[in-house]
Amino acid sequence: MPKKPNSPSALWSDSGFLRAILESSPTAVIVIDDSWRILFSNTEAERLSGWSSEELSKLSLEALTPPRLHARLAAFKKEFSEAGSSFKWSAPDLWIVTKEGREHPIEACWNTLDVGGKRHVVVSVIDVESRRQDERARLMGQERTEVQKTALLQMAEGSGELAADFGTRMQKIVRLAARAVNADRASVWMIDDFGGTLVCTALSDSTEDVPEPSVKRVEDSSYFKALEQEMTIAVSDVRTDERMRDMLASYFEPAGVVATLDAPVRIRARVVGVVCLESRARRTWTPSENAFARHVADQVSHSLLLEENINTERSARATAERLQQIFSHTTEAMFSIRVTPSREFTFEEFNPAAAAMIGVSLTDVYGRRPQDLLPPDVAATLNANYRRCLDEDRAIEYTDVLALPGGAGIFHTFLVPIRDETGRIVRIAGFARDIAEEERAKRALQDSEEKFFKVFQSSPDAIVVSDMETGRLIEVNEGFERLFACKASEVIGRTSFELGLWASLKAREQLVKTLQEKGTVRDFTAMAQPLSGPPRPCMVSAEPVEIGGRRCLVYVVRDITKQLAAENALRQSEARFRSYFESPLVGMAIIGPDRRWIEVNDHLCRIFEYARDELMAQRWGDLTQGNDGEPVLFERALRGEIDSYALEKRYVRKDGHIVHASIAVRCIRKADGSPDYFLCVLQDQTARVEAERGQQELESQLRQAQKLEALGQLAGGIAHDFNNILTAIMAYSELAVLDIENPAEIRQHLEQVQAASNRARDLVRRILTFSRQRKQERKPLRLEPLIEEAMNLIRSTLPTTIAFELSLSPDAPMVLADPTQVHQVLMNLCTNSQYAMRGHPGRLSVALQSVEVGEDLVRLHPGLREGRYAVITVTDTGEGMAPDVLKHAFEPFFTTKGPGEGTGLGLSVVHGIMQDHEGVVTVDSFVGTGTVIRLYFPESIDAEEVAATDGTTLERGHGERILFVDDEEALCHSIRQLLERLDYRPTVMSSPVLALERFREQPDAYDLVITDLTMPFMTGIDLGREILAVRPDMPMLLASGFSGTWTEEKVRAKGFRGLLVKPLSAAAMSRAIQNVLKKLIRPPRANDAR
Amino acid sequence: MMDPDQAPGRTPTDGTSAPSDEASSSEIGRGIELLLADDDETLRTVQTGYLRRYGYTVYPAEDGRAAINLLKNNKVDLVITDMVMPGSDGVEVIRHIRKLAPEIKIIAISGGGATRRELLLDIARVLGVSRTLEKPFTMAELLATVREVLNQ
Repeated sequence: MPKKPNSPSALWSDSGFLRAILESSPTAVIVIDDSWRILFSNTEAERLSGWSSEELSKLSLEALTPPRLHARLAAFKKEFSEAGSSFKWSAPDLWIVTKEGREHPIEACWNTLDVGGKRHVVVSVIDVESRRQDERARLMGQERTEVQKTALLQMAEGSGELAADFGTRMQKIVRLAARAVNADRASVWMIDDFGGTLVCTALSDSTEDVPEPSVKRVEDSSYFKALEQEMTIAVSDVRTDERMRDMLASYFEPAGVVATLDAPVRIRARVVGVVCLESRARRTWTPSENAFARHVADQVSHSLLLEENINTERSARATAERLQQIFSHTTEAMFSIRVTPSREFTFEEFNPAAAAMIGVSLTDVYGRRPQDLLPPDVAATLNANYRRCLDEDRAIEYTDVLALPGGAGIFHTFLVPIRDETGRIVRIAGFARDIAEEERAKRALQDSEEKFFKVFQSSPDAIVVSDMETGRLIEVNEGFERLFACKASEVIGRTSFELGLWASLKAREQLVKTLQEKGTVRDFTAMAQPLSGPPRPCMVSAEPVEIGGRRCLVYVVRDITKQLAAENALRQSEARFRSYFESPLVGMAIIGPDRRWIEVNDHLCRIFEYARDELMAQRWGDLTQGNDGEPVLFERALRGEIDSYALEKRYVRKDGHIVHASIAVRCIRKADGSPDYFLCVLQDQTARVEAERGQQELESQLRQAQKLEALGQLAGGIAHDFNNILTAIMAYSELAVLDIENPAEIRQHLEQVQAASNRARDLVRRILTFSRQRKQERKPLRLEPLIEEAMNLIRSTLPTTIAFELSLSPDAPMVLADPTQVHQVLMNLCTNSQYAMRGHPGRLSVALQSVEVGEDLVRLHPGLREGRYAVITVTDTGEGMAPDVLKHAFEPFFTTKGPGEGTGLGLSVVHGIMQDHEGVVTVDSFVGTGTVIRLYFPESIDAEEVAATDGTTLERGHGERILFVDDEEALCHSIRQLLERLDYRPTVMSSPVLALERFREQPDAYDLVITDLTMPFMTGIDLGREILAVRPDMPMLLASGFSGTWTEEKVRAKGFRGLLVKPLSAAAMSRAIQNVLKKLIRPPRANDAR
Repeated sequence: MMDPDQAPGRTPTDGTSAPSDEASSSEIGRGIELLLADDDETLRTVQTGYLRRYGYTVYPAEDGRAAINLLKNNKVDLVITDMVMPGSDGVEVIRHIRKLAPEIKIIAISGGGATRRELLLDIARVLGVSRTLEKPFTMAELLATVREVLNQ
């Protein structure tokens, strides 16, 4: 029947299972048969014996037992054989011999086991080696503890001996301790409060030649923390302990220490030292050793306390004696006051100083209250102070000013409460001192010392104090260190001679000699030799002084390198300036901000013909002739708005002559920006100005002469035309007479007369335009608005075949110009261009730009100077001019126009006008391509724009109705456009007759009438007369091309409000219109009008 | 400058009475051919018109070149020429006539006044013109001069 493998009984019967249990047992198990052979052994048995199971099976029990136990084994075998089946034997203190031959202590338990009728023995073996060891250690420990106890007793024995000093006692302690725990070293260390280190107080070492450990252990380490927290620190191997790491290299390794047992020494819970027991081999410290270490530490702290007591007692005695001495002899007042239960204060004891201070005798004091001895106010003060000490329950300190019987003073008092054992204040100890004098002296001393030290140290000069006898340096300052490139420590105690501080010994000798003769030395120049670097020029002063009874010399050494350099530079710069200042070419002056001359050069005196003194007595500006902008510029410079200015001005020489000068003034400022002085360079320009004026006159004469010549030519030139006209007039007049019967014929003839007359009039107008001697009115202005206005007129007269472009750059500079003339120039040029493009499509461009004229342009056009110009360019795409035509372009009466088309005055007038403007006109022209004319107007630098009322602005209307009458169709056309643009409603008529008809139809349809003076069939005057006949209040303006015969007064007499001078400028006309419309001009002949 | 105020009221009468002496003024110049060179169109027109009123045949020319061309194709009795004209001027015309037809009589007209122009008249006289006439002149003076020269 097969066994069920999973039944418990079957399991138990399974020998493999049982064997597994045996193998895992911590007890060594062997099974022996009746012939004492080992049948079985488990793993633990193998481990214990060192033999394998197989080897064990071949070994006898005797082989496993030490020989000394073989007798006992034999006895056992015998007893076992004789015993019954239930034999059980347990044997302590047995030994087994291992495979290595070592005896191992065991306990064995023997049991019989009958299997299969055979008797077996099962032996359970327990390894007892560790238990044996422990036991042995315990025994040894007990022995050791005994030793320790003895040692502690011995330590304590000597502790009471006052005679033995602390060091000796510590030495004894370490010696005993080392012996007691069998340590290689024992030592006591005290913590040095200041250094945070441990200092060895006593050391006992088994090796005699180990030196005293001088190694200090560092505070704030983990070791220190451990000392504070632990009772002992037991370390079996310092090499593996974190707390000891810091001291490994510095202490343990040099000393050869491996294990240490440290116990902190505490006094009043504070660690003050440490006891160290050390071993040179690894060692486990036993609890009893730990306890011992603690006891040793206690012994040390006990000794320390004892030492402290002895010292205290000793010093207390000495103190009492000393105090008594002090109490009696000190100049400080000392006293004690008793506090009565009723909080009154009675004096108890005074020292002589206190008695003297109060002004009473010592014997009178005891038991008296302040009010008994002192004036009431003083007593009240004292009582209040004592009470304060009581109330505040602490020591107080105060200073009082008191008038005591012993004398008034400033008393600094210190009160200390003295308590009984219950803490109640029963006495007050007082200390008082009159500090009046002291305070003063102290303050004075402090002040002077401080001052001196500060001066001494901070002085930029080198200051050195030396002993007069030995010459050795006693003190040097920072300046000295700087100058001589040394440290004070390097030089103090040595002599200047030793240090080689003198570059020249001769200079030193001379200084010493001077010192001996005169006692002091002042500003002695010598070369100082720094310890490193080149010698430096110095100024030396020396003075003998007495310091602390010692005769000394104080040297002050000033480095004058920079000063010399500065002086040198100044001298050079002054020389340079002086040579410049004394230049014979220009006048120069230095003027103060108060306008006084500070310095003038000879040339300036010569210019003004004043002697220097006479000139210096005046002020800047006194010599100025007339009013110029200079004072304003000077003021601006004073205010810091400008730094310099230059202008041309006039002065009055001493003899009254005018000096023309160009001056350049520069303001030299102080560091804070305020003006220090003004440097003025003045150049006499009188000769130049006069020459220029002469030249101008000459030019003007020449121009006039040219003009006259031109007029002559003109006379000849136009005579032909004019005579033609006259002839025509005369001829048609004759014809009219001849045809007197035929009105139609007469009309034709008269029309021819009229046409011829018109030609004559136009001719005359042109001549007048040319010859008009009008005074120039140049003023600072911008060209832009002027050009715009002129172009408005031009544009309207341009045929549609000509494109027009206008480009005005706003950055063009201000110029000094006569607006009317510029206007005329532009009209002339544009008319020319228009003519040049007649019959063809073309383009007329007018541009204004800013041009910086440089050297190249100046070379090309000598009339130009370098600088900024406003340039007007008129460009056309007309027929252009051939070079030979161009050559004559500016000559008067030169014209390319056919008879009757022009007088040839255009470009020559332009040229003249541009010359008047100190400008230049240039012409570039190519046949078939076109012409470019450039007008250069120089920038007017000082100019400020004249306000808008100068005629360059257009005043606008508000739909007012204006009747404009002029026989020139072209003008009518352009005026209509202009008036419309100015927001008027114009009616423009070229025939005065038709205009009058129209007016008569609707007299109220107009707000203003503007009529030309000269018109066919009816003059403007006649027209005006007729209009006033219809409407007496009608505002009218008369326009005339030639103002010579008609004046403002005359036209007003004829009923007009004003006269407009042709050519009509839009600005003048718009202004006149507004003046009339706003009734700014009263109607003339108001009485008649009514 | 003429004053229109006064112009309408006056009638120029100087030198205009001479032709009116004739019974039939339009017959005076019959059969006589004149060449008139003047660059001023108005003057050319008025002079031509005036002389034609008196029966002269007048060939107007606007400058010297035109005058010379006309002379090539027409036989004239008298040439009246302005001395100052664009293109070929009076001097050239006179030279041309003196060269080709010395018999033709010449009246030279000048603008007058200017030195250069006077010089021109002197030149004309040297060149052998019959008469000179200075502007301004009346038509009556012109007619009188023409008749005078032709009657020489």
